[in-house]
Amino acid sequence: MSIPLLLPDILLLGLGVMILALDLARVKASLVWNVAWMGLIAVLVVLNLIPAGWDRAWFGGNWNLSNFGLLMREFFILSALVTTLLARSNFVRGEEGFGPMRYKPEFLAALIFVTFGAITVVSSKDLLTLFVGLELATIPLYFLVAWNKENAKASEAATKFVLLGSTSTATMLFGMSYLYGFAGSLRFANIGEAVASSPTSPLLWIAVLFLTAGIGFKLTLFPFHSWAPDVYDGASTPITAFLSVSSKATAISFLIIMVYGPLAAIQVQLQPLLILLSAATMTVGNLGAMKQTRLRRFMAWSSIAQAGYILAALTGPAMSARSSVVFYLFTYAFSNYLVFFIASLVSDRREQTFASLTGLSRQKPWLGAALAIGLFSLAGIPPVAGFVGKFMLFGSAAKAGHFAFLIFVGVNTVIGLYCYLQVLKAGWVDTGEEAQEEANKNLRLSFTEGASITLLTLLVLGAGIAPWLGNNIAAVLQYGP
Amino acid sequence: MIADIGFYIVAFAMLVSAIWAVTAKNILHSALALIGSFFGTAILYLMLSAEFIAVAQVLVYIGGVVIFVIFIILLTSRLGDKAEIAPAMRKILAFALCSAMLGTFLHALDRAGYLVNTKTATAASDFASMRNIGLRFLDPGANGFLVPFEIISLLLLITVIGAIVIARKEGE
Repeated sequence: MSIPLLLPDILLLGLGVMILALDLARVKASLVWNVAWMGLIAVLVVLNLIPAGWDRAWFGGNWNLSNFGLLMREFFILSALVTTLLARSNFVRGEEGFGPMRYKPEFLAALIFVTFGAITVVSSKDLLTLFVGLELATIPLYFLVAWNKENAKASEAATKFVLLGSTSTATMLFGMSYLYGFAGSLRFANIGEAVASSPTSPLLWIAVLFLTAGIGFKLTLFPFHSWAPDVYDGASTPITAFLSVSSKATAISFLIIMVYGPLAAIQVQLQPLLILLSAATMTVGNLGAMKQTRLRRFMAWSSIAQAGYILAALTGPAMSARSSVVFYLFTYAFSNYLVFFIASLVSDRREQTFASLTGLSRQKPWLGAALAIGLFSLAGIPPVAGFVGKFMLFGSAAKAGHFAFLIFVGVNTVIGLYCYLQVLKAGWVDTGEEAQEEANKNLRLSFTEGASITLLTLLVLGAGIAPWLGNNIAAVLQYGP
Repeated sequence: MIADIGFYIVAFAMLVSAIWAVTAKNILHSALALIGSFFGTAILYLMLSAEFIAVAQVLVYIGGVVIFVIFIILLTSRLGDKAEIAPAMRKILAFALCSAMLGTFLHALDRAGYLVNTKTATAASDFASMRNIGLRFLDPGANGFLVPFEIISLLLLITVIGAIVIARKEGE
């Protein structure tokens, strides 16, 4: 059974349960936080000891460990770790004038369970496990958004999120039921056979339509994106960051699993649909980002555009799509978390707007530089990580020969650059808000924040300067037993 | 033959209550009409000899969801209030969208050969029996779904914890 391969999953689950148990034993909340981040690092270390090249399944094929799953596990655990670090300040000093949040152990346990749900998605070999994993990766987010009970906007955001989220879940489940009815089985292998033998069946296409609509909500694709700005703005900064990274990565893994797994036989026919969604999503995201003044709302629109870019890779062949998406997700996560760390830092007592960045580069040059690096990476400027990531994403689409689409994507990247430069302008050029500049002068970084920002900056720079790191991902994905 | 007639009677009753649920001016009437629609679905499940799903339908939807909805309505809205009337444009748009969707479904089902189906495909009568569902959920083998079954328990655990945190009054 080779149980050691399952050790990271089991340890992660154990960590979540242990945090809840520590809370029951009434230990200090700061200790629980330390256990959480150290535990996540430990799981990450154990995960890195597992060699690639296993494509094995356990429990009658319900739980599967593939190379793609292995890399995504690293991603999800890393993302949970950074969110845990980012969340500390919300429980110590609060943000945007609200007091510190409470119930830290439950918060951290929920984060870990969501991460386990995301891991379930990348481990699934059948629709039932996939769906249950997706729910475990979504439902706790509904209440995590509402965690700050002082903030009425958080409750409003959570209500919108629950209502639209359950509608999208119902839509997706409807699509899955059609897929089940079409194939007569929940297992991906059997569905793949059925798709290959009758790729034009109308039942299949109804299923594809509803599955895309359902997952489009979670990935904030164009017609299903309207919830994102409100929810991202209402939630606390760590949850917004987690939503924009882990939740989005779960959705894109779902699409990769479906498009290159059971639906592989109709991937070519799916390409026009994906191109349409991708192009519309990035345009809407970039246009929406132009007129924002609040940072989290801006990041919501930015993440919508980023979802469009990521989707572009799925028009390419399987291997380049997988490797470019995994690499891009890492660079996107580093840059996104970097920006969110700085946003959380400047909003300790103030509103989190563009204006609160005023004078950051004059008062705290290093923070200004980190902000610039994060934003340049999101926009895709060399030599930072985002450029290499985008290069590989669009390279994947180019392999399938979608050059007209890529020109459109290029135009969008320029529009996106304009949006990101607006934030940078607030931090580097704008003057006039004396009070904000004074407040930025008195910024105090805790050790956690300083260390995280430094590390993330180095990672963003490192992945840009050493782009061959991306080849490692391709190598892991192709590595056979 | 008798089963066919039974199906059409139940399906007709479901349609009537579904339309009633959508068009009723009083929101409480809509909730009550939903019960009829859900109950009809449960009967259809029974006719397909899926007794577990039928019982779950009654317990969860009629016993849980609708009662919950009625509670919310009674707690939040004033029943004497006039129902909000949607603008005509929105009604037309909604009607057009729904018709388009219905048309797509009918077309798809027709092309797949399910709309006029002369052959009756039947599963073994114990295919969806309670015993089989239970056995397959707890079977770690190739035919079972042990992993999702266990993950549902994680989902319920963390959801209950989250619900308690959100519902709890501050300062206790």
